[in-house]
Amino acid sequence: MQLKNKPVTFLLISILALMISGCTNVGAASSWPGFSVQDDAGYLSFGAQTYAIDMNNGSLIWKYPAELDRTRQAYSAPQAVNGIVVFGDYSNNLVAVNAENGTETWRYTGAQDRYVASVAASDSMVYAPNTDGYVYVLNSDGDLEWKFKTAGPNWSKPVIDAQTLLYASMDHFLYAIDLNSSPTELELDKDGSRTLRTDYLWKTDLGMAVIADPVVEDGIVYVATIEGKLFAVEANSGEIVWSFDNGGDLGAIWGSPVIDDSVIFFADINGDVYTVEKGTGKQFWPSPFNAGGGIVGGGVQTNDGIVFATDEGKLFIINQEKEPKTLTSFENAIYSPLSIYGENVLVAPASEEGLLSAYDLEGFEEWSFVPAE
Amino acid sequence: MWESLIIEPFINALLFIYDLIGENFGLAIILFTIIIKLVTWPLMSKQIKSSRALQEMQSDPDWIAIQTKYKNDKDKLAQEQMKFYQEKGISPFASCLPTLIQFPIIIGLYQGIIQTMGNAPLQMLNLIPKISPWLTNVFSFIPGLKEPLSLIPLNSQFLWMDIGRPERIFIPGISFGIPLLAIIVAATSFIQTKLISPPSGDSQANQMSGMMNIYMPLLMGWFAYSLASGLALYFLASNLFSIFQYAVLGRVNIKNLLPGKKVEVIKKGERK
Repeated sequence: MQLKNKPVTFLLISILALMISGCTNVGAASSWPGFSVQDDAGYLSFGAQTYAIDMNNGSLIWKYPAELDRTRQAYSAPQAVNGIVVFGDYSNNLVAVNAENGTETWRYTGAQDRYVASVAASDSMVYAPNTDGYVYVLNSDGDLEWKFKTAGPNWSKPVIDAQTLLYASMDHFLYAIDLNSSPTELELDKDGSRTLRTDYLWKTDLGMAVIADPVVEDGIVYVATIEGKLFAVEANSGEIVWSFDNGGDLGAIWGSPVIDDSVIFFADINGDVYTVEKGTGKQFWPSPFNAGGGIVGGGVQTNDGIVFATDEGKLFIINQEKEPKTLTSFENAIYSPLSIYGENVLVAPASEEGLLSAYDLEGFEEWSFVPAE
Repeated sequence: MWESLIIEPFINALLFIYDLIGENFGLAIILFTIIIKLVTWPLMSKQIKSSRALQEMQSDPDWIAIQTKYKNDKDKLAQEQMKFYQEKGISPFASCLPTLIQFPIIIGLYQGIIQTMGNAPLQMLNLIPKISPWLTNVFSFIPGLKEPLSLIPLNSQFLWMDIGRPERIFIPGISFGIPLLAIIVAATSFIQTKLISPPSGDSQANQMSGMMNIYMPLLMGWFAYSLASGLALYFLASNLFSIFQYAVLGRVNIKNLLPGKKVEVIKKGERK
């Protein structure tokens, strides 16, 4: 074979390079939409854009950035607090924008890695966990007050219970930090700044990494690990009250548990929905309900039961009597946690038909938000 | 089937090595690459020998005579070629079959490394169901081995780099990061192709070889620049081990790195 044509050879090799790059999913979305609701607005981050959406009709309020920047990647659920909306991105930026119009208010660039989890906010302070192992604590002007170091990446959202910051890390530990006492002695961190806080009330070893956001109620923290174990931990002391893993039969748990009166609902990536008694951790249903597809995002509580979504696109509701009802089906997998606004369940299927959709409990679509671009 | 036969075992093997050597993923990638290269060494040796035999055939007087006699009859030439292979004991497939067998192993190793790094939620979601304790159970007599799921997330720091991100070195005074690992990968790829590409009497073959000596290192450098540094480490380890392999088999001549006429490496007992 005669190979005299150098440009053709170069083109063939370039095509090979692109194909192999494609095998690594370089440039593809690396996560699912992050979404939260505050008052009448919902805030969603997916890829290059963050949106504020009117929860009454699904219309766009604003988008950030105003000019599309395709290099930007953001997936953590934005959090609204005191007139601003705070969210992190994969370029290590933590950004706050005006909740009314989406204009940037401040930007914190001190983190060393991407923001995967959403921030928690309380009393004008923002608590931002980062993949670099730190939880950054900033005031309402975006100035760093202090930071706390864990031994692993941080992918779950902190919760605040009566002036205690409760935080579960991928380093296997659940931490409690006292927010009442302002740290008088901050230590020097490796970047030379005296911003490192090392004191904590307690820390409890959960044995495996935590990705699911913890839930706290009545002084008990409910937190699940990737091993497939649900823990109930006393918020005051860190003592494990009970744990449940169905004899080791549970798959990894990514979604937050949902508390429905005295029963806790949660699901694993095998698609099994479990219920346990809140006080004792004993199994409520004799056996789990299998949804037919993996469940990643947490469910949401409604008057008729708990709504879950599967990675096969099924949206279904199930009550304490273990009576399931399919509401609707999507063509796309649903990984994002569900939310509720009024009587509507909010789903982020991240499909071309709709980035965010609202469905009533009969399975009828109320509205769907489709970005203009 | 690809996932269960190749990817999952590779992921679990990587995690096992990672745990065994003290939770260093960069070293685990390098060691696993070397292990795979050692396992496929017999295939590689056979390939090198077969390539050499095919090359020698080009200057065999009997073969030249056949080509001259049947130059106008392609069908007859093909028949005589197969007969010649049989008489001389040459297998044309032996030079490419080992590559074909190695190819899925190399792609599997490549994908296994990417999936094990799990540095974004979707990657982690895909990784976790593939982790199995079977290797830990088989080697349970080794003290200190951990449940593989408890190793997640992996320690992604290796020397100055984050294994899950493209590598860059930032020097004070320079506003951009220098892709040192990509440069080293491109350089070792160039050295590898120069050292092990034998010269040929055919000018066209030399031309093609010359093009590949430029394009392949550039391609490898591009991959190392744009992909996670864990993969760049794999490319580097693979290049260095390949040079070592060829050196052990006596197929390397340092003089080929210098500009000018290339020198063929002829082992004792072999004829030109």
